[in-house]
Amino acid sequence: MLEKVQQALNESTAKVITGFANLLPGIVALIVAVLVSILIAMLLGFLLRRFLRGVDFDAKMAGWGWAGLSDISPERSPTLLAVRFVYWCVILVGALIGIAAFDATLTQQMVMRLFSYLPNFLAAILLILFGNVIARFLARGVLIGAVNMNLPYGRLLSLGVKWLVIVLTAAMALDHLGIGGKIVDLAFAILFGGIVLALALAVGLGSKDLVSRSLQQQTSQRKEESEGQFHHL
Amino acid sequence: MATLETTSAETKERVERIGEADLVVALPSCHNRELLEAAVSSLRAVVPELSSNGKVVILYPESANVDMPGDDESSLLLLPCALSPVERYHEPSLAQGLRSLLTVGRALRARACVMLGSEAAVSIPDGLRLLAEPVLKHGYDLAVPLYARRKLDSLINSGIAYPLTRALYGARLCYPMAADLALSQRLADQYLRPSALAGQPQSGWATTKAVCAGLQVCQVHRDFAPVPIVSEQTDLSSSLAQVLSTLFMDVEQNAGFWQRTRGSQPVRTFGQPRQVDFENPAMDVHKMVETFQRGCRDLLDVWAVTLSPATLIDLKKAAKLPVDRFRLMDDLWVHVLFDFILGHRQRVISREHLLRSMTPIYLGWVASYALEVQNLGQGAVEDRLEKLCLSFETLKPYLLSRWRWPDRFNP
Repeated sequence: MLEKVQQALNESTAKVITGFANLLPGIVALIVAVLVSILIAMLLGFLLRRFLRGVDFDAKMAGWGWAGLSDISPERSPTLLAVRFVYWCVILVGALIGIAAFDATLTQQMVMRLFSYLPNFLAAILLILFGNVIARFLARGVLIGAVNMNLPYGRLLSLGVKWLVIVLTAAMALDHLGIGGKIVDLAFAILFGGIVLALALAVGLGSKDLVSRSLQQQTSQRKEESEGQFHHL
Repeated sequence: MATLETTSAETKERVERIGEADLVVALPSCHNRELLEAAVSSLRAVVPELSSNGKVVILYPESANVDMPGDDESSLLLLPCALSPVERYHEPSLAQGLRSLLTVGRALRARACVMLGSEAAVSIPDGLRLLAEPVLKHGYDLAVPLYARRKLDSLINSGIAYPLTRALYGARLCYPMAADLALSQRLADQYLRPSALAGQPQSGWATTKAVCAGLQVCQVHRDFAPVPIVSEQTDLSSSLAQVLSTLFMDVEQNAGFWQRTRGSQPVRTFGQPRQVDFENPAMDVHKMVETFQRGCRDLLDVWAVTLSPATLIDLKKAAKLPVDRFRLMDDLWVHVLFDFILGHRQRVISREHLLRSMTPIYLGWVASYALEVQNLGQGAVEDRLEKLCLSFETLKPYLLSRWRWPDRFNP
């Protein structure tokens, strides 16, 4: 009995050690791939940063109308954002190469699925990125317009616009990633419809005094101009 | 002969038939038959004074759709042209009209071209005579009006355009953005020269172009500034953004010139100052101060991208003052404007947002200025504006330094 138990233990130990020995080259390959990819990422990052600083990328992006990009960039620098994006992409590719070195069917399938999923993932990231820039741009425009019209709740309006756009782009990104399925669509429709309905009710009922006061203020401002108190032009 | 791309084939043909003219006058505000006929009949008395033996060509908008055939040999000729009404301080609409006028003027080898962009029909003869004389008889290249105004009229001009252009370009032209002006052939050549951008016409005010080109400029005393031609929908924020955008673009284009200019010089002024009722009706600045205070609460993040920390602190301090003691010091106002010029150049955020975000600060300046001058007479108000202009000139080195070294630490 004891002999049989010992034999079973020896066999299972041998199996585990053999399995581990089989996996070891893969693990080493993974570590090496990740280390090499980190080195390559650092080198590429360094070269890219020097190049982008050389061509004054931050100012050029602002000049091309992408000034809002600096708001979501580390240290308000689109150059650093691009460098970090490339850095992490190289490390991700290195990790995938390392995982592929395991030579297991399951791993291979996982890598294949991951690669086929990559375009969706990148598209979702771009959506979030663009959505964020657009949300900030619109929010700033609404805030400036509201202050110039002397509306008391400019910040609230601006925040509302910002989150509407962010919720919209987040729902689009999740839809692109295939996460959540119909729940996301349904939740988004309920949330978006709810926000619009709430705004309509607020304007129609709760804020009618506020709206009429704002319109009155605007009219009286025009009246002052026409009556000749101030002529800006 | 200069090319006439902006005019119709019929107009080109008539220009060729006319051959030469002494004076070409554009009347963009005469957009229907009644206005045009009234202007032409009153002009007949003035034309012999200005041109004893040459021809005078009047350009009117093609959109007026008026058929007024004339004898090509008569001294006063009418010609339809690509003109549209000029909005007050709206450079694109003025530039479009000026290009049409100067193109025809150059083709006709006219000694002077006169744009009466904002004159009402009744004042057209007076305006034409006063503006054309310095160019035709005294050899000036540009004559602009110096309008009589009340205390609180033309505030964008008094608080921004005049002091800024005076400090930067060194010429004390009180209305640098006037839509009524007379130009010589030399300035026409300068204005119609293609810009650095291939195929793009030049932009910017004719006044700054004349000063930067070293041409002779003068001003002429005129009555009240005409009523602005702006649509009712245009709000102050849009008008201000439009004016600032053109001024700031000019500053960028002429950076080489204004960086070399020091101080300012008076320009010759023809005529006598017109007497007007100087007082505006009783004023209320509460809403303006309120908008300024709201701006200081809500727009600090937007302003922080272009204003220096010290300027932001001073604005916050000003926002805490009660309305009756509210003041926005000249130095602070000048720093704000200079910082916005730099922010506009560096495109720190969308230019439209940046310029519109200046409205509350401008209203703060208007409120402060209105409170200061409410009990002052005409002379004292002129002194007050002169003090503001001197602040712009004194602080110009700050703009110069930050223009040349934008990354240098600036507390």
